[in-house]
Amino acid sequence: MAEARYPSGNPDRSRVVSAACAVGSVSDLASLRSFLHGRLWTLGAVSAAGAAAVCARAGETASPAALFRTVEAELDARLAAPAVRRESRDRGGHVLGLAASCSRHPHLTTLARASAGHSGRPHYPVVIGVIAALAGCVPYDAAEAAAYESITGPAFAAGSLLGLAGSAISELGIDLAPEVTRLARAAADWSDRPFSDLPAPGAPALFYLSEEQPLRPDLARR
Amino acid sequence: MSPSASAPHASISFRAGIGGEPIVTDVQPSAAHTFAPDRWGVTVVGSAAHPEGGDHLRLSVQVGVGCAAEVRSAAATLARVGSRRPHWAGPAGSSMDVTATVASDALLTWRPEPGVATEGCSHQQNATIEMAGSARLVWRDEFLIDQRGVPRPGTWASRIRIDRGGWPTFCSELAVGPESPLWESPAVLEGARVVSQIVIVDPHHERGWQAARATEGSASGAALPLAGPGVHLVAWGDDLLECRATLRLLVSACGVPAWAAERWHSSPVVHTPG
Repeated sequence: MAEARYPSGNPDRSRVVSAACAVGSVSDLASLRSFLHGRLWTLGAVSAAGAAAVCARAGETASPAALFRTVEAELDARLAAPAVRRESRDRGGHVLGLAASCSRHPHLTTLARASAGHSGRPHYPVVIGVIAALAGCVPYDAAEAAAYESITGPAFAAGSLLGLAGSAISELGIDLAPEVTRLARAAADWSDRPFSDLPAPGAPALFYLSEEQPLRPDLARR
Repeated sequence: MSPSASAPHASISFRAGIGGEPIVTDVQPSAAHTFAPDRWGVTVVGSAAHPEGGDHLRLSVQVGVGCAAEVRSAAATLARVGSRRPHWAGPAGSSMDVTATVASDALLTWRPEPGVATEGCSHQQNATIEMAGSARLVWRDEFLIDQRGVPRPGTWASRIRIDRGGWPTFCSELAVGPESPLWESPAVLEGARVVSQIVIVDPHHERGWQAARATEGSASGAALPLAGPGVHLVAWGDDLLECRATLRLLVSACGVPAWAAERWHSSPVVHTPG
């Protein structure tokens, strides 16, 4: 799992939260906590549930290519914003590259081939799920890694933007840790459900902030 | 008796006339819903008594090959906490499952009036749409919390799932109201009282879809192109008319095909052959 925790250094991750700070919807520790809580139980939940479900199946599946195509389609359907899909694929491709440099397991090649339409960049939760399965982890571990990943980057980015002390952000992390555990447990419980029944919580405000287009003046009549 | 066995199930099926106009082939009203067919499709007439706590309603629509049908509703759907249960039993939630199948080359416009969560209620709305690869869709979904200074607002949760040719195309859950732990997060709905959303699917639309953002008064909205051939337009705020105005801005900004732009909020479009 070491490569799953490898810092992927994607500037996209902080863009949404810096947009949130810019428009004032995140302005202090309390609103940052609420923002991260929302992010954890929406994008984080989709990610954790996907990773756990892949981890539970990847070890024994007879047809990994079909499995990967199905999960990719389910994630595409749940990540409604183009920028969020792009971000998930960028990170997935990055971690898959790292994993492929450490292991020659056929699943990794199959996964890269299954997402050939997206230049070999599968969604991040699929990659985490496969790596967790190959490393002998249980679905809970995959879900926990994906859930943590959904909030750590934005937390530290917002901390520096709002001028909060590093210790305050660390305390926030400790504060949210039980939530991450709760989400990872739930995702592990969901992991044997059909993919279509996995949760699909939307996050319109986050999607709104993630889109790069500046707000056209003719579309704002506030 | 299990809830599914007792769930009232209303159903209506259309086939295409010679020019694609909708012809009702089968109609089964339930205690909660009846149908008033028209030249352009059907108006669903809901009983004012439903849904209330403990209700599990079902409504299904089938649109046959090449048929263009529109479904509207006579009035807003009011979800209520219900009075049938003994006071010591605690409130029970209500639910409504809507299923739609849209066959090859068919077109379904689904645009009922909003769902309203009244004081203390807890309602779950589920829409499941199965489309053929060549079918087209406009799906409107609006819900809000009753505003009249109630001490204990209700909660309305909505799940929409669209499959095209057996593959997932859109899957999303949103909820307004205090029972949703995410409702007030600045990453989700910022505590908005009203959500107004449309999903448009059109595999024949060649100009593509653009992402866009818009605001109108208290409402914010985003047009989010799907991974497949379609777009999700969503607006949230404290006023239904402002949310609709935001959607109108988004419809003009994101490249919605003309047929969909004229169908999502205007008077019913009578299908003209040709």
